[in-house]
Amino acid sequence: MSLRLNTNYNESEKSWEVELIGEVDINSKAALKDELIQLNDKRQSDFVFKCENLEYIDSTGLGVLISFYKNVKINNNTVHFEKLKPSILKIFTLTGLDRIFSIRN
Amino acid sequence: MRESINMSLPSKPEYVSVARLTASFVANQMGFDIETIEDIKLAVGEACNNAILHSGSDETYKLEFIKLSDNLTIEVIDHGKGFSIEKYKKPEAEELQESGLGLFIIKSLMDSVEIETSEGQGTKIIMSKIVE
Repeated sequence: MSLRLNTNYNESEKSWEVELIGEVDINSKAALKDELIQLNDKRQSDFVFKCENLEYIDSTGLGVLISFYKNVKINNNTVHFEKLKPSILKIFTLTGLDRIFSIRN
Repeated sequence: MRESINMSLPSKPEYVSVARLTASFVANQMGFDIETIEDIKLAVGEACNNAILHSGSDETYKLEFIKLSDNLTIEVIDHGKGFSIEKYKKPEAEELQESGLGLFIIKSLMDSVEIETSEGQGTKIIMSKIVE
């Protein structure tokens, strides 16, 4: 299994919606990073990550999200995570990222 | 009872999932619960990431899964650049560290972790989990 992304700009919410499907790991992190940078170049706004089908994330994947968050924050935009699976939420909590990212479960 | 599974993998990101799948399989076979299987899988993934990121010119790294009656021990051995364990410190989330999280995750999820490393000598991560 690798990573699949569905992206959509939500006009009413004025935010990018990014559905993460599969695994964000050392193998897929570069593709994710490129896609996020492209979206943010296209339109700077808030980002909502839909994580219902995110099965796995490792420290390299978290690294991509952390540095992307720094980029987004420069323009006073935010990053939200929705519907994290318990195993994924555990890693966010363990690493303290639950206090940095906005998590809506 | 002692059985061990040995693997040698190319130091490339696309093969880490082979190690993770093996970890899930072995942990499941030993009767760990689903949450613990996920923990072991992630710890193995992080150790492999570490081996790849520090691999230098070495083209492969090794894994050994050692099944004991009450314990699963996993060794991940690379012959790469190694790193200075003294310079490693636990990352602070507030500082938004992007590196160093891997070892922290391994230490948090496994029951015991030993790291043998020095600059230029490669790295051996030995981690184990007790079957409850």
